[in-house]
Amino acid sequence: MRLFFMRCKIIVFVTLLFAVTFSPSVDAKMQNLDERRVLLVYTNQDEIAMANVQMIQATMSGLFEQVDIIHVDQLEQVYLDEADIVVAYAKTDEEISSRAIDLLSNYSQELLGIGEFAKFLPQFDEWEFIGDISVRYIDNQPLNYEVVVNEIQVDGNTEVLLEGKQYEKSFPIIMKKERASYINFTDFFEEERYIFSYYLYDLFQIDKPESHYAYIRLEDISPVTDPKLLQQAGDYLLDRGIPVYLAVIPVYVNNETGKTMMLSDMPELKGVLDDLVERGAYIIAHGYTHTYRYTETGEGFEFWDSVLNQPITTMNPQDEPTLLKKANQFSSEDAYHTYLEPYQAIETQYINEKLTASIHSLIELGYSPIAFEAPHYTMGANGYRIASNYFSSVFGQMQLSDTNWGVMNSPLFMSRPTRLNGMVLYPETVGFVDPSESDPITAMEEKIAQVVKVPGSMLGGFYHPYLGIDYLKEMVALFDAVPNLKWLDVKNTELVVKTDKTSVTVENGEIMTRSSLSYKDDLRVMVKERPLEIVLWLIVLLTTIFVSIFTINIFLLRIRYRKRLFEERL
Amino acid sequence: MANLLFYTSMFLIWFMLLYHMFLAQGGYLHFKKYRKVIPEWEKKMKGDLPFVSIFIPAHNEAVVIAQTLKAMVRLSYPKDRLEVILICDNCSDNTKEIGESFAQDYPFIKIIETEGKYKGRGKSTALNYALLHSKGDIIAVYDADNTPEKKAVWYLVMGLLNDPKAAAMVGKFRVVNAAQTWLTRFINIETICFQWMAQAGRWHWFGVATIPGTNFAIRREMIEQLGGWDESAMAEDTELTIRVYNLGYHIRFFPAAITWEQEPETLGVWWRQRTRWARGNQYVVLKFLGKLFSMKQKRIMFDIFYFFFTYFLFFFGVIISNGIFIINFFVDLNLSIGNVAVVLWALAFLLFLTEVMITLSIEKDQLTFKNILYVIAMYFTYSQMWILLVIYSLFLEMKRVIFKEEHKWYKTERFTTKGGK
Repeated sequence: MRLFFMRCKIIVFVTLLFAVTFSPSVDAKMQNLDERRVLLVYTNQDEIAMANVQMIQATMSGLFEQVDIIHVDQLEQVYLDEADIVVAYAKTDEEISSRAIDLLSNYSQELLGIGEFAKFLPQFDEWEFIGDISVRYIDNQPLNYEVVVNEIQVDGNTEVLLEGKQYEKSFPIIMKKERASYINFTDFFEEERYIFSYYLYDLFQIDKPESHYAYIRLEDISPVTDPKLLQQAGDYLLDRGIPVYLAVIPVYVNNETGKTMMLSDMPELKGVLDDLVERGAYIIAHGYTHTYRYTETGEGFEFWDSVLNQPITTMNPQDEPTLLKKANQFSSEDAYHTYLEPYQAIETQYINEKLTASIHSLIELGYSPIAFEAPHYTMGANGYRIASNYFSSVFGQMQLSDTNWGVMNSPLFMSRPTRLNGMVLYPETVGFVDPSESDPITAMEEKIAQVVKVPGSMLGGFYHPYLGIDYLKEMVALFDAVPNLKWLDVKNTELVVKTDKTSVTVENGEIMTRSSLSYKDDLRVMVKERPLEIVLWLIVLLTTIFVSIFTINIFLLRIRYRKRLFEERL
Repeated sequence: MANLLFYTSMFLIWFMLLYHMFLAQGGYLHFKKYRKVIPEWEKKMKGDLPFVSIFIPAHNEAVVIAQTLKAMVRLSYPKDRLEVILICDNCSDNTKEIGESFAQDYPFIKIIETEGKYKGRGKSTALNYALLHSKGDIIAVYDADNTPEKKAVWYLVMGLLNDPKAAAMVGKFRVVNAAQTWLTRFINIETICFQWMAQAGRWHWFGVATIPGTNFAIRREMIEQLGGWDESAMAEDTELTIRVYNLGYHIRFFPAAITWEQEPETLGVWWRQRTRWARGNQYVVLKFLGKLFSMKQKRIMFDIFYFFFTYFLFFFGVIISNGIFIINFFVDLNLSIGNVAVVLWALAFLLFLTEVMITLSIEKDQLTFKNILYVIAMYFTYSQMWILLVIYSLFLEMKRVIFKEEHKWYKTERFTTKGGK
């Protein structure tokens, strides 16, 4: 017993040690990151502008080791002194304080202006900002939408890297003059995302890698997944030497009945998972139940209230959630944050419990979760902050707003977005096979073509095993057609997944799992998930004991009775 | 919704099953020890024994009364300290004449006939009438079809003399015509279970036993203090039990005192008898449930609650559970319960089997292969008839309350003994 406790202590100590030294990074072998320090200074604070700031930061973090974000009002000389590159982003031409302009005016290193900021800075004085104009083509490629840019008259020494067009007239979109460069658009969600990622190499003289990392996730594997289809899909990938990533939801909750099913209830599926994991498949913790409230229709958003489109506000699915007030209903930002605090406390507890339950239940089943993927990729900043205490890696996209789950995107590189509080993002960039589309494979093919234009970009896609493997074969063929494609193998990274009782790490290229979970933790999960069933099992236990006692009693009485008969005969 | 109902019914049913399981163990423990006091208690049975009046209420009992009186004659209790009172209540057969022929030979046998307001009103009234015409310090009651063993009354009195807090002493009854029909075989098993689980088990754990209507003795002062038997109660025994406990006394189950009684041999008779019992118990629940928390003796609260559970909650649970079981064949109810339900179902059966077998093995020659087969059959047949019975009696009781009907005493039909003891 003492030995047992000692062992527990050692495990806890080891876990603590990891907590202290835990600073995740994409392994140097996989990405050659530029050591120059980047400081991103931004002005606007509305939802869309902030989402763009996050996208710029995330994208750049795929190429640079350190990319910090700061609001223009918080800018200090000391930050500029430490920065090798400053990115100045303004989505609209809101007034910028003269203090900030003065600070930036004296900055002599590489400066990238994006949007309206450049107008105010002396580094761009030799260009004439004429007014707004919209372009239909960039780099002779037609756009699906108009992009409003600045019409800029540049001087002869300016190198125009990229032009946009409207009615045969060209406008500079990306240009560079000495240490100042400029990007003439302010949104980074769609086509501009590719352009931005592509030109970062040229703007900052970074070597273009020739290869692309790629992964295919088998998505939404829950207790109701068809084991045969999963086996087929898993086998197909493993047989081709493609690492398999299984996004697993340990518990299935039927929205209509509230009925729960656990993976341990499904021996056949468990057998398939065991087999795939045995052969090297990786498990991604895809939430715990994939649901928040039972009454929600459709597939649940576990870490986001999709009905009210706001963060989680209740612990129990039965409780009615509160519709949160909006920031503009408060006199100050402080007042708004004070208002949100108690709700965030609930959200924090909720997410802590769910993530712990998810990791623990997977580990109890004998699986080692290597990363996190939020159901539907939805989660607020607070959620990502909490998740970063458990996981060092995330698969998928990022929710870029705290008030609207629809604002969602991902950079094209493996990256370390500030939004994810230090977690590495393995971005989903090529989508999934959607059979509701008329030609799902062509849709993916087009996306892949777009992504591979960006050097060093990651091809991340996912596949639902319930579709059978025909589409999967086509999807794999698309990936295989990409030259210099390398399959992502997380064994080559420095991942950490941990709770206070468990940890998963990579040591010498092997996934190592430590756990001090005991039968008590197991029981606690059962009690929480199925309290009534536990009581019934206790009844089973008690009754079994009594039935055994009764059986013994019956035999004792028989022996006694025979003895009496024997004595009477004497 | 189906889930909630299913779990509710599971818990209601298992609450009851666990309680009985607990009782079965108590009964076994009581069996192991009840005889140990006898050598000590015998000491008080010397010298002047109390005067005992035995009441035998009879309504057209000509078929059985002779053998009952024969058994009374054989009782080993000093006859000068004994009077056997046969109460003829509105008899139209020759019960009275048979009784009188015995009275001529044995002076301690007395025949009385209910008169006036006492006439034809049922068992309680008949017993109250006899109370007026008796002088015993201790009143023992036997049904007209009973043949007590020689020492039955002796043990009942011994118990009362040695246990001053006991208002009444209750003996055990056995079935005389057990081998007669399939029905009496079931009833035989049932009564053995009832004695050792409900009576002995409750006595062991809670010091509670129920006056069963026959083979019990009560102190005269006690019955007088209680104002006699409740004439509107159909299950006068249950009702009396509760009132005894309410006065701060208890009722002891002392299985050394044994009587043999006749059980219904046909379903129709059984049905009427059991309907009367069920309605009687439902009446008691409704009468006392409101006063549950004002009762002096808390342990009897438990008993009333038990009846409430049996006739209302457990019954409700069984109905729901059966209902869900049947509906589940036609519609997928999406029940979330898994293997545990199957395990519980199997365990319920095993529990029933072992419980019954343990009580059977207490009695000599009862744990036979044939009886085990009957026990198995019982689970699926006889036990299930109880559901219909409760529905029917609830319906009758509701009808009675709505139309303000008065209780009628349906006499249990007797059978001539062919085999017997």
